[in-house]
Amino acid sequence: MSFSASEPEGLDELQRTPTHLEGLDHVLSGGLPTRRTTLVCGGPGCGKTMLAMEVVARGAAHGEPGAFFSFEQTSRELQTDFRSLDLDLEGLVHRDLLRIHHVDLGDRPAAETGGYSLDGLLVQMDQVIEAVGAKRVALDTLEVLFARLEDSRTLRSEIRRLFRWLQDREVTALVTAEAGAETLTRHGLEEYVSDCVVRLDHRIHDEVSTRRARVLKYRGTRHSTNEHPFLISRKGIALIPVDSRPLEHPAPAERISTGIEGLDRMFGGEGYFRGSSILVSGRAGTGKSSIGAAYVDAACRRGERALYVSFEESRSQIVRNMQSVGVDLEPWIEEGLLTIQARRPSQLGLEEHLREVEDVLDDVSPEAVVVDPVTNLINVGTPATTLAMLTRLVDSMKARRTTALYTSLESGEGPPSVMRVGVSSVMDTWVQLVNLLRRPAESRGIYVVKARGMAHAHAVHEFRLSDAGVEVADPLDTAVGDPREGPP
Amino acid sequence: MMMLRKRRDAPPPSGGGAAPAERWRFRIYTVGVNPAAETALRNLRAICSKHLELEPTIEVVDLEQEPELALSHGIYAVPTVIRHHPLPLMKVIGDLSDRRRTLDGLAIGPR
Repeated sequence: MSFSASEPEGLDELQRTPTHLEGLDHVLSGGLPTRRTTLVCGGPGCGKTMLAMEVVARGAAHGEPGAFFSFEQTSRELQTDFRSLDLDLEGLVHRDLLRIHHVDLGDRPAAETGGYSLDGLLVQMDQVIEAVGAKRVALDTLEVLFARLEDSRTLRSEIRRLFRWLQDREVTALVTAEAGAETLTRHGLEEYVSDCVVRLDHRIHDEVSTRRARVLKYRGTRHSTNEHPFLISRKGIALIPVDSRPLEHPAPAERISTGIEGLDRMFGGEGYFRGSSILVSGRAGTGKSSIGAAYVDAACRRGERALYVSFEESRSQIVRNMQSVGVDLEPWIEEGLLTIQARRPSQLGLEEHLREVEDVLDDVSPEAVVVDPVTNLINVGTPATTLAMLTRLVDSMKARRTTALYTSLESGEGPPSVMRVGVSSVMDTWVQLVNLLRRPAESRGIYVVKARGMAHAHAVHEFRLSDAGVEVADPLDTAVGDPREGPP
Repeated sequence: MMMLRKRRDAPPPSGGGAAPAERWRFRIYTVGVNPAAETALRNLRAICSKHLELEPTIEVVDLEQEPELALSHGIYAVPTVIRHHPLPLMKVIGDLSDRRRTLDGLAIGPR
């Protein structure tokens, strides 16, 4: 067996079991260690139970039977909790691919005198595992035992025995545990797990809730030690690897109109690449939304479905504003081609926003999307989180082959705010709008900062908004300097 | 070492014409050969002979033989001793080596 230069020794010996969770397998270099036990720890509400259930249920859905042992919630409660997710626990149970077993420890601690063993629990687990031939097993949360049994010394040695038993049973196991104040887990379970430890974290910062996951230990394997943001959506846990962008999107070749003839001309007469991401930045009143509206209007004219997500104005305001610049969106709404979603960024946390956007994308399956302005999302979270989340949004759009246009509201001096979070680097095309100071009022300029993979105009063009429509006219000789004030 | 098997202790011959005393019933759950369960059985007998009028019925359940009872009776630790009669159900985990705790935990004593 040979090792490639980039892989440490021992890597090939360790088999991996894919979690089938978006992003997580990437971070785990392929999955959980097969026939070993992985510890998942974190504070209350961090998503431990969901992660454990998803790994077991998604495995079952892929034909690998699983058993979920719940020490707190009854199986009925769990099935109810997970009903909103598309896991179909009931169907899996019905097809004998999954067992959810509630290990009932009673309401209060039992009286205790003298030594004991956890053989009763092992007898229970053995039968449940046998019933479906489970290969994946989750225990959630084993440490409830510490609240029921007072002789913790005996309990510790019994838990150690339980972990050995799991290994002897050759199951791939997930054990969840509460985070401790000074130790990784409240009862030091990390001491018993040497193969893989995943920590989940749920933080609220500036009223924005952010979930993160980190692989702390993975014996014999190179793994990412970064903290990776994750979302909980209708499809379950989606982790965003921050240190890599593994998604290989097919390079689009087809071109589509921007909806503005003059702007098409600036892109070699052909418009945007289908499936690309476009950033339109500018200060308030420079006409960013008009570029977005012209674009969805053109998409609907081609008979495509379009989605306009607004974080600023209501649906009726958008329609009214666009009518004033000669773009009538109403007929497209009536025809069912255009969906306008108005959101207020303060209502929800960043991840909830993204979840909602993704849900709408699932429902509408649009070919064209406008997010206006994406900066209202950016201002919700910390830069690092925001970049990861937006990268995910952009990736998600690309994976759907959706051509998405994001507007960015700039304010004050200094580099555009999107620059601060590096969003422009994930954009294929960047169009900047400016007010032209030495010109008559209402004079605007437009220019292309970058356009990946295509020839484009470099000069500032005049950009006009009137009731006759959105118009891009001839290039101006006005120099505006480099508006980027930094690398894209 | 005494081997445990599932069994019922024979009730003693009934006494004279005094008021009928209740015969208590216990169950000891174990898995296979388990010294702690044997100790628990001895301790339970000794405690009952001192505190109860009639010798109790003690059933020893080996979950290795009847694994489904671990699920239906919710047994996770062994030995687990459960007082079945009189109700309510009382439960103690361990070998019953602490007399005071056993008396409290199973509420054994004149009623």
